[in-house]
Amino acid sequence: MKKSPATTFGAVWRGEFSPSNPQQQKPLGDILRNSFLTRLLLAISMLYISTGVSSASQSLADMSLEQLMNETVTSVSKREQKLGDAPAAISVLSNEDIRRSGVTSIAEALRMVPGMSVSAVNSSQWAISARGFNGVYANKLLVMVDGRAVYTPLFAGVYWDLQQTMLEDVDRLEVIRGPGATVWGANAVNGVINVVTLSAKDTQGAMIYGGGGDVHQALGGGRYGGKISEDTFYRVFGSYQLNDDYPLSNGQPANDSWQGWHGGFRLDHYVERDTHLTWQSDVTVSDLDDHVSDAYNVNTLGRWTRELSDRSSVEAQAYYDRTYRNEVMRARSTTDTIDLTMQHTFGLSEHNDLMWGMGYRFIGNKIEQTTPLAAVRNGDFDLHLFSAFLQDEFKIVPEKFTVTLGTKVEHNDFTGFEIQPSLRAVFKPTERQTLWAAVSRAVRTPSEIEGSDVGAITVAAPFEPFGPGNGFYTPTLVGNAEPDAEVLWAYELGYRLQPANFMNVEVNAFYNDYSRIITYGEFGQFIPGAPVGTAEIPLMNLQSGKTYGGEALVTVAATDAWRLTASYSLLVANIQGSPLSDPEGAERSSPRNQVALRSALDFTKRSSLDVQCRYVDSIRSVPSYITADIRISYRPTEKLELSIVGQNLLDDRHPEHGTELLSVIAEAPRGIYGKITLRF
Amino acid sequence: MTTGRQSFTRYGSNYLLPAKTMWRWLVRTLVLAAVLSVSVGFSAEPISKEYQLKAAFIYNFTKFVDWPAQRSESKDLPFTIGVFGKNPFGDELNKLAQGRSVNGRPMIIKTITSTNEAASVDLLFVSGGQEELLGKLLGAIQGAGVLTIGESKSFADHGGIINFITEADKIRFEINLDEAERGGLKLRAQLLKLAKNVQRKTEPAQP
Repeated sequence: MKKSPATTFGAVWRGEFSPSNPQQQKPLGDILRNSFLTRLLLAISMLYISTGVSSASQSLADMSLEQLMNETVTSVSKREQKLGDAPAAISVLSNEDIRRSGVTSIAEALRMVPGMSVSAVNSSQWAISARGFNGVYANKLLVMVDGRAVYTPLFAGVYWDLQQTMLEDVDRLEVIRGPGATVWGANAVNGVINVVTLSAKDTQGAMIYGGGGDVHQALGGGRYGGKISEDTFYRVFGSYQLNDDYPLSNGQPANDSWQGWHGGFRLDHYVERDTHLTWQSDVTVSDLDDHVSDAYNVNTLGRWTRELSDRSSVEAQAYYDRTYRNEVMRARSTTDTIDLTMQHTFGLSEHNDLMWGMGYRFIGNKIEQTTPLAAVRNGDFDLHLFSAFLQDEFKIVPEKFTVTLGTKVEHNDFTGFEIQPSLRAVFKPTERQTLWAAVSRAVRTPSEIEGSDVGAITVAAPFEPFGPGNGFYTPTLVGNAEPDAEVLWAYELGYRLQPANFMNVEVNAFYNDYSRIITYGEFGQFIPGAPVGTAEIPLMNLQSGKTYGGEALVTVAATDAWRLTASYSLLVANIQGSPLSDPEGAERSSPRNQVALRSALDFTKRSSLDVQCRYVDSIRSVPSYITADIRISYRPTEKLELSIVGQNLLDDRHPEHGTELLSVIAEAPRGIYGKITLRF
Repeated sequence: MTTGRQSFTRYGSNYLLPAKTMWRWLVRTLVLAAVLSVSVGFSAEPISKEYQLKAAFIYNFTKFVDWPAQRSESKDLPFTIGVFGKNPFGDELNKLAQGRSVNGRPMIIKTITSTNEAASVDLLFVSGGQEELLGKLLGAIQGAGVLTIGESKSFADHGGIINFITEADKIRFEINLDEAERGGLKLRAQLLKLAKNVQRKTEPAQP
């Protein structure tokens, strides 16, 4: 999944790139950021400019020293890993992939990643997971934005409406399916998503966009990037979106319209060639459920990285994050997080690279009740999380066979110490083939709702039990049973092949063995009350199960202006637990089969057509569906882009997700919007 | 995965080249097609822009350096550029050498693996990652009139003459002038003017 070269390629043919033209700095930078093809393109473009000389360095060699000193080197760090070599099921969506897809949010963009299950629950809520166990409260995925964990410790899920990072600023969206626990820590059980934004150095100049339609009623934003000094760059950015109600299954509006504001800045300072300092802060506000609920996030993050040598680097990061959420259907919560991490990589011997790191996270909570359906018992508490990891990459046969062994040790307030080891091996029989295998143990530590006596959530109408006493009791989920961490042993295999220059093939398979899955399933205490008592259903380690499946992906660059991607994902789940814990529901929480097709075509040098079509198998009560998105774009000049996007085009509306506790379930409607982007 | 926490990958190798269908070729000019196919052919190991630039810098430096007489007078001998350590240039230096000369001497590129060989070249590039060997290597060829060019922090301290530094993605260089003079190399003022830093412990003697 790589940036389509088509548009830049076209420009190269027309000789529009010139290293001396400052207006072309951005595309040139983009080109250089990517390795092989783009370097080739650069080489060709240079060739083209230098008319007939046969190498890029030769045209460079003919420049004066002064000119050379103005050329930028945007090279890939030597330690950053090539996709082809990674011992994990990794996908990357580039800035270009995201732009061309016409999606308006990170959540929506994840639909493009094979093995991900993404369902729109209502206008602002999403259920997103990898390799099973999907739901609004999906809790086995670690999501990070520039290294900041954005899942809420309350239920270990993500408030997707607050993830409003301006997509124009996203360098890439990296997705690992499968455990990433050794380095990334608890919650990285079924997958890790990392949103990486561009350095301020790469967003110089001004960009504004605006548009709107019937579902995404209004969207607008802008950014400005400048230089404070030769080595210090900044950008400021802001965006707004207004989204209409989604329809309920009966066609009536769900009253879930919402609007969001996002703004902030990023500063990047480079010292010499080896030190990079980043300071970024942003504010996000969501006005949810037709002005009934609201939420905000503020955060500030600083990071210092230093390359000590080709094989050695140090990094330290600190951030503060506050997430406030006031929902009539759930609760009012304020979570303050302070997180400190450092990591160090160095060459232990010629063939050994050691990486280790440590981290501490403080989480302060204040939770207040907004609905009797979710009673708050003890909403004021702090948590401390300590972690350390050690990983050794051993190149047994350099460039051919590498084994990585590592473990993370973590201490949390609910379950104490947790150990998460993994063993990964990569074999590269030829330059164009990679075979990898991994065995890992990952844990999901209990969320606050599960691990402590935070609240009591009504799950059904009062009933009259057979057993103790007389009268009615309300079945209520409670978290006071102090469950153990969930454990996953994951066995993975992957194979990547480039059979020809124009084709990539990737196949991943996994077998996941889960134990001690936290769920409800047995009645605990019956607490009598008038007029109704409480029948407590503690969240406990009551399920276990196995899932297996995989993903297959084929990408073909049919011509230099047309790229096709096809993917298939399979997920089979077999979960055991008491009938009350609904193991079948867990099995069917994610689609068994998914097929996605994407086509990216530049039909003239100024216009492009992107089509995505996807089949999603049935889940629980929701039937399977096929739908398609189309984006048409026209660039009358290099600075201006006009686009029209149609989403969910194949039906008026369709449900994507089934019933969830304390959530309105709406259907995904067909939507069309237009957008104008201006860069100057 | 030896990767930073912020980013697990850079996915350099997940590239695709468009299929070169016949009609496409016919649309393009044959010349460009030939150029492209050549590019595709040899670029299994793509060379980063950084090293394309550094190769160009190295060639440019030679225009501003006067080698000691015993080296520069032998016009029939080729001007030899040695590369010590992992060659990051791929084929770039060789391509650059074609049809170019230094003071009228044709250029050749050699891979240097021992300190003995190092003294025989006119210009020696020491690639990064050789820090542990720098002292020994540079010590062995000190005063031999070899223009040493490196890209390691401690290069100048170990007696290297020109050292590349990358700042905010642009290439800069520092010069150890004392060391150059010790080897009888004359670095012209234009070059010194562009250096970020010129190390000159001993003030030139006043006439």
